[in-house]
Amino acid sequence: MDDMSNNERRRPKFKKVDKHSGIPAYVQVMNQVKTEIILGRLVPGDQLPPVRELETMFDVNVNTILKALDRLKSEGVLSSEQGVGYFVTSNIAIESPIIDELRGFVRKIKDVGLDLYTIILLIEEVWKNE
Amino acid sequence: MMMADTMDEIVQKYVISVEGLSKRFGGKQVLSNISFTVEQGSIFALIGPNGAGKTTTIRCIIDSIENDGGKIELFGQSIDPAIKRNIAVVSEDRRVFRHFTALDYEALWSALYPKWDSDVFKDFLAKYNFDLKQRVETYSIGMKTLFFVALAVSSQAELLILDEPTQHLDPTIRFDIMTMLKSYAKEGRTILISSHEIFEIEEYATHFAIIKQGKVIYTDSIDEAKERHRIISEGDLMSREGAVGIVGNEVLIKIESAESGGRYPRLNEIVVGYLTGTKR
Amino acid sequence: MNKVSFGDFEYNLTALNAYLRKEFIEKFRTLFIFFVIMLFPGLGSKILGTFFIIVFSMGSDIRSKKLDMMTFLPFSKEMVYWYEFIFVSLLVVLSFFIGLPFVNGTLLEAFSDLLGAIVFAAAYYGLIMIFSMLGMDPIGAAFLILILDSIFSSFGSTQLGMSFNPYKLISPVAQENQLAALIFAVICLYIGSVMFSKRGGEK
Repeated sequence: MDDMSNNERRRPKFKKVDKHSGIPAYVQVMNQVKTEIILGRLVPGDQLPPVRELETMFDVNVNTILKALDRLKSEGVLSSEQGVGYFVTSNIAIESPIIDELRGFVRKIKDVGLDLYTIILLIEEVWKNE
Repeated sequence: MMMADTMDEIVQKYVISVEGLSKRFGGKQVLSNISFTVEQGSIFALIGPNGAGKTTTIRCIIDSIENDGGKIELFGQSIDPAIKRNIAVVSEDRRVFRHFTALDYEALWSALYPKWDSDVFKDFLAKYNFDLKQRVETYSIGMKTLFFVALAVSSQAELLILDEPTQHLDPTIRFDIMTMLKSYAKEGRTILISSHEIFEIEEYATHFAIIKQGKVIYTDSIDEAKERHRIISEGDLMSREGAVGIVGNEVLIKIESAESGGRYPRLNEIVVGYLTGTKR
Repeated sequence: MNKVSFGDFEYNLTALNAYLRKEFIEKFRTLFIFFVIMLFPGLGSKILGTFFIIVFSMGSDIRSKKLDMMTFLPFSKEMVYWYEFIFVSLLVVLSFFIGLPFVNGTLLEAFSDLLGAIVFAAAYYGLIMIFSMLGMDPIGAAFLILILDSIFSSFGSTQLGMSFNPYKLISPVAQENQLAALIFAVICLYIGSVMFSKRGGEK
C-alpha cells in the first residue's frame, strides 16, 4: 500500500507500457504521468526523469516518449526548459473526496468478492452508458 | 506554390525510401507497388503472408536483384558498395558457406564491415556457447539464426536488414534478441525486419508496412495506426464509414477524429483487418 | 553507373582479398582435381581444367542460387562477376607457374599456352554467364557451348577460299588466331558482365 502522505521524496512509479493492449504506447505514457500527478506522487514544480531514463522505465522508443511529453505540454500538464528537462505545471484537479470515494467503493466491491478485472469491466460498461 | 514550400520543409533523409517498386520474375508480377519509408532509429517491420513479396523487396533494396520499376534510396542516395558496408543483412534461408567455421565468418565480416566490434561478437558467442572452430554448417537452424544475428549486430552497421530474425528460436532466446535489437536501435541505428510474428513485432517494432500480393496496402507507426483505427462490433457497422476489413466477428474501421466509439485495435487486428479487407 | 558499382580502390583490394579467401576455403577441395589437371603441360589440359573450374565454381553457385550469399554482403553484382573471373584466372596462372619446371617446349610456347588458357577462360566465363542470364541452366549451358564450339571449329579451314571458316580463328578452343580469339573473348567477357549486373543471382 502506498503512503500518499509521504511527500519527502517523490519518485514517480512508472512501469513498462503494455504493447499488446491496443492503446497506443504514448497514450499509456501520458496516462501514467497523469495518474502520478492525480495521486500526488508528482506535484507542480517536480522535474520528470531524463528522457533516456523514461525510455527504459516505459520500455519504449525515444520518439514515443517525446510525443507523450509533447502532448502533455500542449494539454498544459507539463512545461519544458531547453536543456534542463520537463516539469510538472498543473495539478490535475481531483479533489481528495473523489479519491476517498473511490477507496470506499473499492472496499465495498472487495467485500462482495469481485476482482479488479470485473470492476474494470463494470466501470467500462457504466462509462459507456453515462 | 504553397505545396512545394511545405514539401521542402519536411524533406527528411530517410534511411530507406522505396517508391513504387515493381519486380517481375518470368511471367509473374511478384512486386507491383511497394512504397514505404524508414526513419532513422526505427525498427520497421514488413508484415505479410508468405509469398507476399517481403523477401523479394529485401533483395531489391540490397541490390541483389534489379528492380523493374520504382525508386530505391538508402541513406538518401542510390545504392553502391560503400553504402553496403553500412548495411548488414541476415537472409531468410540462413544459407552458410559450407566449409566456413565461426572464425572464418568473423574474418570475412570484420574485413568487410569497417565498424566491426569483435568484443560484441566474442561476448555473444561466449554467452551462447558457440564453438569457434566448428563449421557453421553443422549448427542447428536455430543456432545458425542466432549466429547470423550475432554477425549482424557485431557489424555495428547503421542499418540491419533481418529476414525473420526470430524464426526457429527458443522463447528465451527470442526475448534476448528482441531486447538486443531494441537497444541497438536506441543508438540511432535502424532495423528493417521481415516477419509474420505479429505479436513479437508489436513488442519491439516501431513502424510497419503490410504487404499483400506485392503491394504495400498500409504503412504507419504502430502508435499512429492504433490511434487511427478502432474495432467495433459488426452490428454497429451500418452507421459507420471507413470500414477496413473484418476481424473475426468485429470490424476494423479507420477514423477521422479522436472522439468515437469502439476500442483501440491491437496490431494483429489491424493486420488482419487490412489483409481480409476487400478494398483494392 | 559503373563507377558506383565498385567503390574506391582501397575497398576493392579488401573486398577482393575477402572474396578470394572465401573461394579458396569454400571451393579449393572441389576444384583441386581440376587444378592438378591444369598442371600438365600444354593448352589442352589447361582448357579442360579451366572449363570444369568455371562449371563447378560459378556455374554451380548460380545453379544452387548462392549468389545472394555474396550480394547480401558488401559486394555488388559487378564485383562478384569480376572477382570470380580473377579467381579463375588466378588458378590458371598459379597452375602455370607451378607446372613451369615440367614444361617440355620452349618458354615462349609455355607463355602462349598461358595466354591461350586465359583467353579460353574469359570467353567461356563470359559465354556461360550470357547463356545463364538468358535463363539457361549454367552447367547445361557450359556443355552446350563446348559442343557448339567444337562443332563449328571442326570443319573448314582458316585459308580464304571455298572452305573458309572464320569461326576457327576466334574459337576459344581452336584459337587459330590468338589475337582474334582474344578480342572475341574480351567481347564475351564484357557482354557477360553487363548482363550479370542486370540479372545477377535472380535465377
